[in-house]
Amino acid sequence: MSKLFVDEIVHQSSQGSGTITLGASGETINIPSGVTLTNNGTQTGLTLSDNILFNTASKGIYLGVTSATASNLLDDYEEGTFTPVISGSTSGSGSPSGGTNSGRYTKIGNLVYVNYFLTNVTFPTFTGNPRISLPFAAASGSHSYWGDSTYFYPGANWETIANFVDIFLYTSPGQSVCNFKIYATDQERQNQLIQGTNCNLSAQSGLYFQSSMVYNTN
Amino acid sequence: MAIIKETVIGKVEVVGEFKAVQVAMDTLIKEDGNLISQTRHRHVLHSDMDISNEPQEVQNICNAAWTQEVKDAWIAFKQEQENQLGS
Repeated sequence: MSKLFVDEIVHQSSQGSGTITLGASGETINIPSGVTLTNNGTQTGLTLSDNILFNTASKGIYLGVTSATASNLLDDYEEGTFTPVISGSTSGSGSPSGGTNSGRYTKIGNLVYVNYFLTNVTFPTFTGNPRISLPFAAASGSHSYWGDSTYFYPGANWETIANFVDIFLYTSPGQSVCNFKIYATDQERQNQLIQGTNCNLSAQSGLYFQSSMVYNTN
Repeated sequence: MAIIKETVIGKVEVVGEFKAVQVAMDTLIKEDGNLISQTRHRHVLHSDMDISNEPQEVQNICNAAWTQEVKDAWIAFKQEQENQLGS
């Protein structure tokens, strides 16, 4: 191994705007720990011509700080799909069949955004409170999460109570399913959908459900 | 020119006190061996779920993580949440 001791490397022809190549494809340029890369010119920032890829999983970027602070580390991003599964708190589980049963998610750090898109589907047979699956388990601890208002159809299946107002998604810590909370006039939002009591969804066809949910993971 | 579609395990994570197993399956589209498209599909497994249809690698991870203590704790936790949720 040999060493080169210099104060400055400048492109031979353009003196600043040319391309200087370090190493070749597949090789490793090793920058020792503790080295600081600075920009002494008039332009700010660092421009890269391609994506950044770490050679170790779960590595990220500290944003907005000058020291390694865990709460400022963005070390995960992922987008994808999942197949929503309907299950009953007492029994029964399965993916809605027939029409479109689609779930999408985007995960940024420990924050997950989920979107459900179920159109003209047939629910599986179940008993108890219906639940719908999530792509990641909710964070453990004490926080629970409420989803957005929902689009659902037909009302004759989704709500069979008087003074009905809306249905909301709700998930508890550690769970990988959402419950359906039902809201009626002058009632607290404590009640859940219950097959045969305030809804008729088990093994029913022609069902629509669209909603979204934001929650934290571990 | 050969286009091949294959599904592989993208990531398996064991998370939380109750050892939820988060599975990411990646669908890869390759043309002559070069990756031209990749999508990710996820699901979560808990210790009271049937995992017989999961890939053997995932089953092995689940069986290693889900001790009887974990299973009992998850059932107790679920029941506690059910009681809190009411009906």
